[in-house]
Amino acid sequence: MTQLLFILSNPPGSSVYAQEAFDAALAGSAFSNIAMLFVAAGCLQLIEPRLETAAHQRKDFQRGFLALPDYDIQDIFCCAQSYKDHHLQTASLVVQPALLSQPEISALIERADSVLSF
Amino acid sequence: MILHTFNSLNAYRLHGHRPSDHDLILLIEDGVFLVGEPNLGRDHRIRVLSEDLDQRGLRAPSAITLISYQDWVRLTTESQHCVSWTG
Repeated sequence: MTQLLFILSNPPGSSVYAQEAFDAALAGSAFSNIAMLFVAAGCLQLIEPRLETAAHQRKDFQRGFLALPDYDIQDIFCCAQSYKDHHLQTASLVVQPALLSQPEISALIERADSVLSF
Repeated sequence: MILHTFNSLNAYRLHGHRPSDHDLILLIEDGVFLVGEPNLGRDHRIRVLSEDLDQRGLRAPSAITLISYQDWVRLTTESQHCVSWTG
């Protein structure tokens, strides 16, 4: 099965990248193995959202991360340095990612059949 | 070999450490402003999109390899993956 790697580097809220990446990953899960890698400000997507949905006029799609195992998406990775830089160890996260060093990230990119950046 | 593109200085600041030694780094759009960085020419992995450099009225030191859109297409076909880093 094709291995698709989604690299997510945009924070949630200010652009549609984060939500679009999530939707694309769910769609892709129908025909591929999916791995999601959160880097830089992208790892902020993992923080449990506390939105007044009506006020913000957007869906708190991150709660959907809880459904990823149901879509057979088990590989949720985060850059260990970004995780630390954004103090995620003290935040309440929707899902706990596996932390990867930069050499591990390079190996992950090499292993993938296709890489999609959002 | 993986082709990493950077489209801004911020993208390079955030992700410039990610390419491996055997990868290529392509600077496009506002990423080309990085040519002002001393020692950039010593990094043999760096390629700069000539057209974006020209549009910004910049000149690159001679040690830096400039490429055209056609070269970019060729590099894309030769690379295992193309990864765009934005910031």
